[in-house]
Amino acid sequence: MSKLTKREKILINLLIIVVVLYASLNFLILPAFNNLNDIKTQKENASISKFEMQSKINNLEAMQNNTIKTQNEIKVLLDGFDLMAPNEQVERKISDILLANNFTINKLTINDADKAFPQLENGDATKEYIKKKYVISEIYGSVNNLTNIMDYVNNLKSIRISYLNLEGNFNDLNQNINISIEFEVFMYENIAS
Amino acid sequence: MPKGFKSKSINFIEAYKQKDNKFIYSKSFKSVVLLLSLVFVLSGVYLYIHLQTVDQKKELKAINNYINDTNNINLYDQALFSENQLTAVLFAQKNNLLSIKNIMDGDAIFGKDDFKSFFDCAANVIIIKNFEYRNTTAAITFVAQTMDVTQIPSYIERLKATNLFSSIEYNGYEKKDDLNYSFNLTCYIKEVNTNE
Repeated sequence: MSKLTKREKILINLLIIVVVLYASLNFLILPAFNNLNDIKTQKENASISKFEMQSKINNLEAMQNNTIKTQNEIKVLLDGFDLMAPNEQVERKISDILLANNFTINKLTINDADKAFPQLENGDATKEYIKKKYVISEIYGSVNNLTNIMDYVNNLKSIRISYLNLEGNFNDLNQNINISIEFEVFMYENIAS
Repeated sequence: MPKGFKSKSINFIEAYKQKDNKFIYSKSFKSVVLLLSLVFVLSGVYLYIHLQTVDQKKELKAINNYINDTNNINLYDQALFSENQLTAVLFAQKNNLLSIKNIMDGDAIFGKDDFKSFFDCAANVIIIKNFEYRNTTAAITFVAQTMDVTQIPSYIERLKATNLFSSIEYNGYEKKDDLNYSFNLTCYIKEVNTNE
């Protein structure tokens, strides 16, 4: 067997170096590096989750205080509002106002469509907190008594006059005339009072 | 030095160096050193990465311990619930109620005194007919009659003087019969919020 030439020896050495380099990089260093990167990514994600969790937990007390404060504000704002009621109760309420001011009620109609206020675009019923009903009534009585109703309703938080029509001639405020009157009645629902 | 001895310098260090140098500078030794250096460097890199990995794993474990802690999970759930309750529900409820309050506060239709002032303006020379009010326009519209058309401007002046209206629209009159002239008026009530 002839001796290896100088060139062959160099080539064998180079081959060994290349094999060692390739094997080390491919089977040791790169997998370890990839593993490190994976763990770094996991840690970053976990850190974000932890930060979010920590900040929410730190704000919990302030949030709860704010919740109580807002609930109290809502209670104050709800004062004067009625819980969403069926038509017969709404009718009773408006009739009582009209009768207490000596009006004869010829007709009273309640608009069935309970409109959310403000109107929601997506129509999510659970997020409709204020609804309004329209009560349209034809009554007979004096303008003087009508102004008493106006004064009374102006002081209410949940009812307003949205339309008024006084028919015929009237210069005497005590003269009885036919009046069409429309009330907007605001009521709440889905709110814990 | 005695005569007859042949002088020969003995230098072990030099000999050793020569020998070593021969070995050191031999090609196979160079190859082995190169290979070992390569292995050493690669091992160093691997060790560094491994230590980093161990370190990162420790930190990850500490973070995961915090995240998976039952107490922390409960507090976090409470915080999420409170936040959702506050932002999605309570604020919406409060804003709805505030918007109603603002509308109602700014939507004072005529009171008793205002109505009396309005009718007093007629002063028995103007007869008011078919009075109509709509809160969407905050306008009062009515037909009025008079026997004396010269009274109309002063009537409008009296209406303006009540300070109840932001503007009054008048577009002339028409003779209805031998005695009466008819005219339409639209009066816009002041400071009425119609944002709905």
